[in-house]
Amino acid sequence: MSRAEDKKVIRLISEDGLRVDGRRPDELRPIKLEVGVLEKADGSAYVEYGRTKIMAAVFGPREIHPRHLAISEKAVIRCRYHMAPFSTEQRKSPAPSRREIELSKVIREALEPAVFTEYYPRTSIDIFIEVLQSDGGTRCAGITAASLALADAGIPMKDLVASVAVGKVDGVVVADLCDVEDKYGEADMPVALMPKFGEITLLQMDGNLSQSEFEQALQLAVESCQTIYGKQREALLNRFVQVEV
Amino acid sequence: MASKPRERAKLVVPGDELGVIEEFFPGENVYEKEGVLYAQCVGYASPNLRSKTVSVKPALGTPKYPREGDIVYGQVMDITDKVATIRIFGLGKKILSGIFTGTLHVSEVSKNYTESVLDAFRPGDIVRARVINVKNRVCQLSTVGKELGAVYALCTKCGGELVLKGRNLVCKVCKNVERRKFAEDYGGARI
Repeated sequence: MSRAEDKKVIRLISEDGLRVDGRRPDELRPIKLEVGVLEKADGSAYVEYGRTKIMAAVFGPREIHPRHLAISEKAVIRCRYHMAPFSTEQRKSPAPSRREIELSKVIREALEPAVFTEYYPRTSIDIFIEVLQSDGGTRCAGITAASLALADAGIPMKDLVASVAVGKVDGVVVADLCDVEDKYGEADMPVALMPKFGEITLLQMDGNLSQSEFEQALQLAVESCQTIYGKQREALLNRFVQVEV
Repeated sequence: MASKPRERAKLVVPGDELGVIEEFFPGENVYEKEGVLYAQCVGYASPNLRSKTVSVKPALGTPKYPREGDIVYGQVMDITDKVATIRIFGLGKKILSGIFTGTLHVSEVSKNYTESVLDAFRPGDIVRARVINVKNRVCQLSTVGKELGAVYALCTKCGGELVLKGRNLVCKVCKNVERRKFAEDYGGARI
């Protein structure tokens, strides 16, 4: 432990208050959102949060197999979050890991409140989230992408879902952590939000935050999600701008 | 790609406010929450002042799945005397992204009395059918009607294509005559 610290001194916040990648504490990474990138899927979206690159695809509502999973009064949402073997520094086994299975579950639960599942009884809506390149905040980028893909598929939704991670590095509350900040920072808190109603659909925390830091972080997360929501709207509406002008 | 927006139609995304319940009834793709109306999908919102409704016309396509009254295309999978199982792959003119399972009961094969489904269809046939009930686990289908029935079938003896000759289906290869409940435009269906 001490030897590793001797070798490499990590300064996550520089003297002038900037982060490892030169951002201000409340600044998001450059975000790129694209809708309808895949032909074969019913709905799809591509999202970049800095160097994090995610592809999401939605199929359905379609007949659910195995049939015993069907629910007679609503659609079942199934979600697969998967990291490509080439998405990380070291090759990742393509088999679903414990972490991926857990993230699939929390992402599904973050999206479920936004979808009118009761319109499609006995069917399934299948969401596939593929991490192409990972640099922290993949679950959040995944939720943002999946919500766009659902909207692209024309599935009725109450609201879009925007998501971002906040956390604490070097004692400073920061937004949209990158991989280094996530690993060596003190806390990481992914938040997903239905921006129109201010409803939080995902809230996890790894590390320690005091109560006041937590409140500050949550406030920052909500503001950041609103920013991302603006970009999500833009991405959906942009598909038509070219046609109209 | 997108249809031309009508006048006063506004492009909206899910969750966009369209008005309050005192102004409008929620129309298609619109829902109400605590007295406020919101859009459910990406599309053009248009308030109708005459009927006092506001609805959203989807701009990115809507999910396709069989509903009561729909005309569907499917392949006959499994047949007993009483019932045929059909894999529905097409809805109207569109191909579904997944498949749905449907059943066709012998009483719904044709207007006339049919002894066994095997007298009307064989596994592998492509049929056009109407959805009559979706309340059960699988869609129930009907082929009663001139325009419904097999639209493409193969010979059970040699696998050659069956073609319509007068009122019969005849194998192109071995001239075997087969019994089918076929649609009036047999062989001419295009999806």
